[in-house]
Amino acid sequence: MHHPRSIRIALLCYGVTLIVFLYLPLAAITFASFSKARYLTFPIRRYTFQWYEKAFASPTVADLLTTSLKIAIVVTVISMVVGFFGALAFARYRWRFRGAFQKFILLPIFFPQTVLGLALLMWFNAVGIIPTWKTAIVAHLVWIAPIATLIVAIRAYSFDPALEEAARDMGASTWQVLREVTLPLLWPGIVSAGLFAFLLSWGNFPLSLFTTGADLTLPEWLYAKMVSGYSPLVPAVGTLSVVGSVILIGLGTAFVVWSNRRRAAMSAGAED
Amino acid sequence: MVNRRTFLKGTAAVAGLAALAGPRRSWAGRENELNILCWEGYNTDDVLGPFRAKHPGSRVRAESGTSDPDMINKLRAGEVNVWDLINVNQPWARNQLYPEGLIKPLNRARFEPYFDLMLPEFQGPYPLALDESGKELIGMVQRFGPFSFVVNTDKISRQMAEDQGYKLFLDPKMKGRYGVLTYDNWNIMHMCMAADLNPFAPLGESDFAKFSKVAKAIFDGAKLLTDDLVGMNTALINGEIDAYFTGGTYTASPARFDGQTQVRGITPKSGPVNGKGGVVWVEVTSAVNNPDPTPLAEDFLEFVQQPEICKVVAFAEGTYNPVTQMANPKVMALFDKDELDAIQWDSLPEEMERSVDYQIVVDYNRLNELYNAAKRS
Amino acid sequence: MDRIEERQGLLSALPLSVLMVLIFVAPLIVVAVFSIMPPRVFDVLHMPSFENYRIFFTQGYYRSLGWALGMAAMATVTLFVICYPLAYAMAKIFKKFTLIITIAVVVTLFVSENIRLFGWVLTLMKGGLISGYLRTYAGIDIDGWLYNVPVIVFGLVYVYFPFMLFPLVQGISMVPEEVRQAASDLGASRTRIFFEIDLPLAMPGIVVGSLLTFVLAAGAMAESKLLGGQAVIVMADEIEAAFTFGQNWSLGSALAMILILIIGSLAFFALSRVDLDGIMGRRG
Repeated sequence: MHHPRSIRIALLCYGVTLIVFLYLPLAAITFASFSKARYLTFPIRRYTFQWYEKAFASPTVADLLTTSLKIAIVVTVISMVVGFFGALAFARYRWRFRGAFQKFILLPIFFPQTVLGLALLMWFNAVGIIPTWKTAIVAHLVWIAPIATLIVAIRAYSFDPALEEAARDMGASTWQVLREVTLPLLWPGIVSAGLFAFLLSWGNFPLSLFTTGADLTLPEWLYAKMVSGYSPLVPAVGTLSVVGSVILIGLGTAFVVWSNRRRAAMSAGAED
Repeated sequence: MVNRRTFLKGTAAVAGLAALAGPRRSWAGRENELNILCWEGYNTDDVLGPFRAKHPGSRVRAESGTSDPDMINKLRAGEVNVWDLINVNQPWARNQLYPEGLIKPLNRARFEPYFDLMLPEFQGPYPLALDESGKELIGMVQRFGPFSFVVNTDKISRQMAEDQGYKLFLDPKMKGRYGVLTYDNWNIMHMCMAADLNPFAPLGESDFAKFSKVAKAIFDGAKLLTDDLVGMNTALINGEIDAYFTGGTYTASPARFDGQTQVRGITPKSGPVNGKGGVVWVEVTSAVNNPDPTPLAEDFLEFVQQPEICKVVAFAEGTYNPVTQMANPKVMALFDKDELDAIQWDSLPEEMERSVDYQIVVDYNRLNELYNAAKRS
Repeated sequence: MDRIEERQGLLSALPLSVLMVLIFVAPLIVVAVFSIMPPRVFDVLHMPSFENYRIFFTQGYYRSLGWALGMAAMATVTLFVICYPLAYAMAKIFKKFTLIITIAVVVTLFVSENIRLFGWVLTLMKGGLISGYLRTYAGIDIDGWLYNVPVIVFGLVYVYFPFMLFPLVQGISMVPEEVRQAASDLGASRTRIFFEIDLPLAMPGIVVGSLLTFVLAAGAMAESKLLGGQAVIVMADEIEAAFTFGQNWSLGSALAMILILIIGSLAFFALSRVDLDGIMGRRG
């Protein structure tokens, strides 16, 4: 549908305003990270780089990053796979226990996370598992996989089953239909779910608290620091996460754009 | 329907879950591993770095808890097989962890001599580092500090705050001018004292009514409640509030070391516990009753008695606190004037004189209920 | 055909179901059993007692529950209103800018939630980013905005913004353009198109977004602690207090069970009212 120019511009401004708003607290954090004093009064009078030097020099910070990343990456991959199939069962297929399934997988989301973490720790202990970062993956999945499923389900609800049927009529096997038709159609939803999964795992504190054993994730460390040992090292690490993520996402986007162009160029070459 | 096949499938799946954790740790493999659960300080690179250097090839990890009960919950829910040392305030170690078998006694012969080098209060050894029978040594003591409340001395004079004690917060003029740092267990002790009750003695029905009234009044007049000491200090420095209920050197020292010396921990001149109104916490670091123990645990306890390390523990990244080893001139020599001022060294002896030990609050459960009800309303 | 769907449904439900049975059912049972243990025990080998549930009703806990649900509902409605226009634009109007907004939002999420909230404390407090600069450069003296109920809702809106935005974008992007075009050609007004086509066809996105926002906000605690100065106590706070300073796991478990039960019934009730299958033409 056609949208008048004025509406486009108004919406553009609206979007920019919301983004500026989202970044306001991060600006405050950045100020705080350059402050010499721990306790701030604005405007800040004495600036320093020492908290960044500390952050880069600290073996603890490097360790935390690795642990958090490891957990988040595994959680993301598993959530995407499980979420894809889960969403089909949730929204696409009509089968006997669907209603029950839909309710059942929502339950973990209703659970207060710290309680879930504590209960999981007791369960791990009962089964004889010593908690490490690997058990944290499992704990994160309990909570994140259902959310990923819901995100994919938005697309699974809206797609047209006729497309799958047409493919099947043309003799495609179930597996082929899934791979060639269903997966590409749901792909944007799956990517979105993966992104959610990564960020939810990366930022999770309450589930990690009881399930990482002697390993430590970044949010756990930051939380403890905030509560009982604050220094501007905390906002410095926060600001660095923003910078790091911008670089990562920038590289990722550049790679996608580059590979799309290359693919386009190659298929154009093949046609010649 | 659960038939045999689905049951077997389930069992196999549980086994799969167990495999996730990898092979069980071998019983002999922990000579080089040490896991410490502690209050912020022992977990910093400044403390762990030298220890790691002394034990090359060892894997030393430390995590800082955010409250005593948080750390204790971890042990209770099964992490006794994870941690080797735990560092909590005195009554939790003595009255909860030890009786429940979550921590075990230390080698008394090895550690007792260190108590002789400590401040006089802690010599002999410190009674609350021993179990109830007085026979077993259940932990080592290092950081401590008086803990009552904190004021901005530019707004409220130290003299007046010390004279009025907790009654300050019941003064109608203070309404909306203070915060409550919600360390619940401490709030409960201090609210008892504000109501002229001795929290360490059994209380009666009329006492509970008095407590309830005071708790409601204090919550009612508070501008903010938070368990975040950064937020609280920031509010104090920026003039949102002029005082906060429950606090001491532990919370005031980082602000003081920042140059904000108007922030000061106050110990009341008098109170209902044998005439005293201040409370002092002492951290006890104990060996966790890990089924697969490591010799590094006791080594670490000995390591932190060295003068240089004592100083680092006292002045770790987050908060600054006096340590019991400051009786040793070698330790004292490592502190400069600003550092001593940050931990209110000048008034520490008189504040200790006016304080009693943090002990078990006899009617804690009932008081906790009343406390939460007051907070809610 | 139906037999195939029956089988495919079951098969595709399998991975998630197995995961849940293995690692969710057990904790659920643990908490449920703890909730009927006598107060302040740390194992489940005691005579059951419903004392903890009695405490919920006799000690005014419903107030904390009410605040949690009320503020979550307010945050959800506010978020829907704020996010819808942006989501619509992202799904239907913007081209490259959609990617930019997405990346911009995602980048903020790399910073832990409590640090972002701490950023708001620094921004809104007296002597903070706003009031401090106003005082110094404009001579205007204002108090902070912290420590009240509206600022808690504000915090919830801020933190759960992506949970509403992205599902809405997904939902709206699935509204077929031809349908809207056809309605418009037939002379339907913009308002009618909005209520009869846009909203219903984007319903899966709206439902998922609202569900996530409401449920997560109802269990949130950091906003009321950091920004609100606990102007009101929320249910999640009570649960944590029971588990930690109360050292009363059974009371905490009972409170958690009640929270799950109430949020669960609200969510299921709402879901049953929105017949997604019917709307999406997926019936029979």
